This record gives sequence, structure tokens and C-alpha cells, in this order.
Amino acid sequence: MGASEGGELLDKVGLGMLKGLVTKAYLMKANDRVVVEVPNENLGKVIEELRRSFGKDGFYVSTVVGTDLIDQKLMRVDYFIYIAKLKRFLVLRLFTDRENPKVTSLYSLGLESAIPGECEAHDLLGIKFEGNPFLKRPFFAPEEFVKQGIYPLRKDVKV
Amino acid sequence: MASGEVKADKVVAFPMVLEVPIGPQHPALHEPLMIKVYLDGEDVVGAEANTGYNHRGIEKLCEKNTFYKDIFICGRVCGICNAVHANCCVRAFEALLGKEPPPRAKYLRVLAMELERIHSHILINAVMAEILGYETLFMYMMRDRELVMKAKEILTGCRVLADYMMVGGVRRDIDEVKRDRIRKLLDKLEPRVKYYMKVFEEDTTIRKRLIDVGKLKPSDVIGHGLLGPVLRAAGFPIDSRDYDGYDAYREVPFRVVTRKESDSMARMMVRWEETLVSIEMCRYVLDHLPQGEAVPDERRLPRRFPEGEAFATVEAPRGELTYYVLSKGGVMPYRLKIRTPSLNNIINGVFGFIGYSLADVPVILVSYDPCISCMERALVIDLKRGTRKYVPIKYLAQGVVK
Amino acid sequence: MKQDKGNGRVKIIRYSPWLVHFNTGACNGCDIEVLTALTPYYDPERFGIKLAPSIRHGDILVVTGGVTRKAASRLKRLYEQMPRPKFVVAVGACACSGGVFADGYGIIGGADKVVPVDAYVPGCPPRPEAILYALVKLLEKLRGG
Repeated sequence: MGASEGGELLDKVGLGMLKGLVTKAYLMKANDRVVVEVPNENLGKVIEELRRSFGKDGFYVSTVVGTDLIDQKLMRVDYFIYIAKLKRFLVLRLFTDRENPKVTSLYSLGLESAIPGECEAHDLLGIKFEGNPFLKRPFFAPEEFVKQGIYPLRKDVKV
Repeated sequence: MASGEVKADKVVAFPMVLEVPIGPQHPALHEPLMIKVYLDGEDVVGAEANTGYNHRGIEKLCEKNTFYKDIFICGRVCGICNAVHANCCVRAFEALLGKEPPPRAKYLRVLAMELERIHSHILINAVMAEILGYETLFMYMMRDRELVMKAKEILTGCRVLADYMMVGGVRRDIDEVKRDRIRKLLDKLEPRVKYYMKVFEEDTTIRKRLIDVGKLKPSDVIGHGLLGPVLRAAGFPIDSRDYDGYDAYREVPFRVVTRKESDSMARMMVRWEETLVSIEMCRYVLDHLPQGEAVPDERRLPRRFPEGEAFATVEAPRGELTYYVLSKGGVMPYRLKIRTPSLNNIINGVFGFIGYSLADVPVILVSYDPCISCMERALVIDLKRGTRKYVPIKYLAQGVVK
Repeated sequence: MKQDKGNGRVKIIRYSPWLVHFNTGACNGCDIEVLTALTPYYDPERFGIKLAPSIRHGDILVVTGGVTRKAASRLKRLYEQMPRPKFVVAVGACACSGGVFADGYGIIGGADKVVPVDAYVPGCPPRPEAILYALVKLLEKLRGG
């Protein structure tokens, strides 16, 4: 990764092992949340590094947030991971194309705690999580929406 | 989540309501979540959670309303833990604005949230007693819970939906008279809570029904992302009040309660101990309330929020609750995401039923602390005989249905 | 909704109305207040009110929460399963008209979009005393005619 301020930040919080795998690292404005932007192909390696440093039982997936960035024609997926030893949240931020949004599922990388969040994001925004066999519709959305193929939380959907 | 082929001769489907609907989730709906338990004789061989949720579309609704209205909408995601929802929402907005509430407001927020924790824990323990058949104990606990509701009403003005939090502080202040009344109510409550805790610890039947039932391996608990008392009963000292230290939790002394056994008894005991810790914290807050203003002048609050994003967490009685807010400037949020703890606990927690008998399933379910009013009836489908019938969950727990 | 089967049937439930509680999509605030209204502190049994073991034994259907699409068909079916004479009480702002969620896509409105409602109890949530008061007023109305 190019930006040096991102690398310093990662070293300072104890996440220096991710330096080569992420494109950017910065702090969310408040509460000290460390955000790293990860290209989709590096997601597996990031999780491996986390496992190596903190153990399999040292972290869990807390929240999965999907955002429809319609102006930039992108969908954004944020994985909020809580790392017990550092007592801190790490946000894995992935961008994907809005027309055919898909990212690698954390379930396929061995993190079962991501299942509910991924199923929800799939149902409401249409993001495909590759490797998650539990994705199905309807999960939350009303049946009429599923029949019409509507993803209610998208910005161009008026309900 | 198990699925697929298991050798079973009976399927029991539990229609359940989830706690607070976050965006999509919907609490208390007729069959919003179907937990299917596959039985062979009396033993559970498979379990899965099928969602057919009814959801209220809260996240979309929040995008259509201003930030301040969203505080009230988010408070109504769950009636039982509404103070923590409003608090998390408000703190996410305060992080966007870069504002800090005054110290007196922080202490009062802690008081409101701890009172809520006490009432929620007493409620779930009362439901557990009812499921096991102790209806009198259930009624006694509900009677003593009224003391907490009265205290909440004196503090916030309403028994259930407090609407107490506002950006920059709280919406009401308390004076000496109210402080004394709340103190007296807590003094009356504490010996009763200690007595109930002793009943759970020492009563033979409760011990037989709860100990070693629903025992979960710690690596399974954290691997599946279960939260709150379920996680702490497996030995992990993870508590949002500890790692985030929001509001006054860095100043009010408290300890994280953990147990090692990770069975249903440990989960209920964690809740009882947390109740006692909460009562101590409330006393501390009442004795050490800082002077100053607590109520912000709502007319001075900014209408337009700056661009930015914020992620706030709070320790709800059921676990860690998180809010994510993205603002692109303007008066309405661009994205508001709520993730309630029951989403993880219930959908991912069904593996805990496998290996236990049918009568244990309601006990384990209640020990996860799902929404109470959702547990109405279970549908028992006998695959061999091809019959279906509705049975109240209480009867399943008491072993009436074979 | 008037009962068309004469006053004789209505007299039967006046002294022991059994409640069935149905949550069509509430936040549980109203539900715990309904639950609290059935505890000895508020003593509903002095009016003969208690929770019915099944819908076929119910006299009064207490609906909480705004009605979502999926719950609408269930609510209708539940109402049809109740034997007459039957009454419906909508508890809480959401059951009366949709509450704060009326604009969203999840809720289609209050309970009266699906079943005829005899008593509305406003509040968010209403106090247990208010819920019991509504039930008592309903019973008095039946006594009156």
C-alpha cells in the first residue's frame, strides 16, 4: 500500500500485519474505529493474518453493513470485526460494482458469525456473497418485493 | 446452522418473534422466525432457523426522516430495551457532530440504561420460571419488577418507552426528592433479587432443568458470534461497557460478570449477577451525580449534520447492539444500520439444541433471551403419523408432549 | 361491530371474558404492558379477565403492533377462528393507526384495516391501567345493550 499514514496507523494499533494486503487505512471520525479498504481478492489473506495473530477464538464478526452508493455506481460492504485482544473494532471495507454486486463470503473463510448479516444484506440490497450457501429470499423482505425482484433498501427503489 | 438430511421422525417448528427489528427484523410477529427442530424420538438431531420475517422497514423509514425524528423511531425498535437503542442512536449522532454531553447527563444516561437492564433481566428470569412451571415464582418476580418500572417512571416519565435521550444530554433532570424515591425503591428491590438468585441456585428442580442443559463449547460460542450473557457465560469477558467505555462507564465502577460452565444455568446466573451489579451502579450514580446542566437546549441543536460516518455500540441487556450512521450532509441520514444482538443469538444459536431432548429446547431458547412475547406456540409435526398440532411452548418444556 | 345474535350470547362473556393476545408486529412495548396487566399487581381477575389457553376459547382479541403484510392474513384467520361473540381491542398507537411506522413499507396500517375493532387504546405504550380500563369500558358497553 502506498499511503504511509495508513501504515503508521496500522502499526500503532497493533494491526501492522495487514499492511501489505490493504489499499488504504484510516480512522473513522469518532470512536477510534480503524477502517481498512481491502480488495476482494485479498480478503482471504487478511482473515488468515488475523487468525494467525489473534487465534481462531480471538475475534468475531459483529456487523455487516451494505450501503448503496448510487452516485458512484458502487455497492459498499463493511465488515465490522471485534478483536478481543486489542479491544477494538476493525472495519474491512470492500467495494463492488453496483450492477452485479458480489464479494467473497466470510462464511466461506470459516467465520460463521457472518451468516446473519450477509443473508440480510443479500435480501435487502442484492449483494451476492460467494460461498455462503444460506442466502435465500425472502429472508426479511416482504414476499411481494421478492416476487417483483425488488431490493427494498436500494436508493432507486421507492416504497 | 445445520440443514439437510437428518434421520428424524418428528419435526417441531417454533414460531418466534425476534427482539427488535432492526431494519428488517421484526420483533414479535406471528411466525417471523421459524425455528425447526428435527427429532428422533425425543432427541434433537437437527435444528435450523428459517426466516420468514415480517419486518417494519425501519432502516428505509429512517432514511426518509430527519436525524432527530429517527431517535424516536429507533427507540421504538424494541420496547424492552428502548433506552439503549435511543442511547446508541444519539451517541452515533453526537460522534458525527463531535459533541459531548455534560457529565451530569452522562450519569443520568447510565442510570436509565442500568434500570432497563435490571427490568429486562428480571423479566427473562420470570419467563424462565414460567416455562419450567413455576407460575407463582413468575408472578412474584413480576410484582417486584414493578418497583423498577416505578423507578424508571420517576426518572424518565414513562414506564416502558423512555424517550429519554437527546443529542447533547437527556430530556429531563431529577431533583433531590426523585433521587430519594429511586434510592428507596432500589433498597426495597435488592434483597428480593438476592432471594431470587438464591432460589435459582439452590432449588433442586431448577438445578436439574438448567444445569448442563444447552452446554455450548466456548469456541463455538464466539465462532458463531453469539453475544451478551451467552458469550459471558462461556468465559469471555467481552462487554461493550468495558471496551467502549461510553458515557460514564469509565467513572462508575463496574465489573464484567463471567461464568465458565456455559450452560443454561450459567447464562441465567450471569444475568442475576449483572442485576446486582447494576443495582450497585445505580446507587453509585445517585450518590455521585455531578452538578450542572443535563438538558440541552433543543432549539440550539443544528438541523444539518456534517458529512461523515460513525459506528456506536452499546451493551443492551441481550448483548452488543450496534448502530452505523452515514451522513452526506443534510437533515436526513444517508444510511442507518441497526444490528440487534438477537439477530446473531437466535439465528446462529440453533446449533445449541442438538443432542438435547425436546423438553430442553424451550429452556435453552429462553436462556438465549429472545423476545418474550413471541414465544406463543410450537407446531409439532409427527412425520411418521403425518399429524400436526399446535402446542403451547410451556407444555413442551414440561414434557407433556411426547 | 354489533352482535347480530341477540343479547343472550353477549351476557355470557360479561363476567369472564377470556383474552387472546396477538402481536402483529409490535416492538414489544405494548406486549409487556399487556403481560403486566395480567399480573396480580393490577389484578385483572377481579373483572374475570384472564388469558385463554387457545384461540377457540377466546372472547376478546387483544391486538398489539402495526399490521405487516404477512401478519394481516394471519390476523384475519385468527379472527375467523374465534367463536362468536367476539370483540377486538387494539392496544397501542401502532395497532390504532400504524404509529410511527405508518409511512414505511413494512406496515400497512392499524388493526382496523383487517378486522373490526371495538376499542382503541392509544398510547405508546399505554399503561396497564389504561388497558384494563378499556376492557372494563367494553364490558360496560355490552352490559348497556
